[in-house]
Amino acid sequence: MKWGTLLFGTLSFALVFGYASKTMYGIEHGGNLLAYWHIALAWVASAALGTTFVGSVLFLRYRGRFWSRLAHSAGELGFLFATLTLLLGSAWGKVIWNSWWEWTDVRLVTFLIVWFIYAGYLVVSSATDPNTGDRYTAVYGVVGFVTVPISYASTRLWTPTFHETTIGNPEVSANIDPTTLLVTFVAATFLYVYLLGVRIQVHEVEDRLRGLTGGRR
Amino acid sequence: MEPLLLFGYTALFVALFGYAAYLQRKLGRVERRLNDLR
Repeated sequence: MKWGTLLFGTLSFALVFGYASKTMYGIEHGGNLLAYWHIALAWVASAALGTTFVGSVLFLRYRGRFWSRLAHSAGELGFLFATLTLLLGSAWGKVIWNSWWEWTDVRLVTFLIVWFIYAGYLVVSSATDPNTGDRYTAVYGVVGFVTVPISYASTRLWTPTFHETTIGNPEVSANIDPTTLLVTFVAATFLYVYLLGVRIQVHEVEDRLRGLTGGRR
Repeated sequence: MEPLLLFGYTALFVALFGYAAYLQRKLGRVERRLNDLR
């Protein structure tokens, strides 16, 4: 995974800086190149939050400690990726909309709600006892996920103002190179899986440590 | 390079490499503690 991340990450940046067009929505600006990682990060954030949902459901069903480790690890990563999505999106928005933030844009506002929901998830998780409180965190992980598909579908559910519907929309006007985007998606996915593996490993060792010390941290 | 582009990708690198380094250090620390206890 580490080498896959390095390989596709390098390839992605080579394509972003050496091949992709700087002109999007009729505006020629280097800041448009932020779009590739902004979109890929939004994808891995959704994948990570989806993993939290699946891990939480499986934990509530089977009670295995592995599922709660998976859910929490993915939740932490999802929050990190969502933060970076907002940061890069804001910088890109300054280029194409001449604004850092638009409260009238339904996708931006719903994505910010997702961000707050998962900040809350991490707070609930850190405030509860890992031996007994995982159930509360899991319920939160299941209920909170509702916001993710709503944010994704927001441009179809409500009238989009700035973000446009991209998938399945033949009139999409962003000039995004599909090869560069695909390679960046692969790089971001490799990175996500690699970081998820390490985070789960940290949880496992911490659990063993807690078992040996009788719950003391 | 445009300042916005530099800001965006610098933030991305710092956050991702910082988080990966934090995880690796944390893993090393808890593994050492586990071995010490054993």
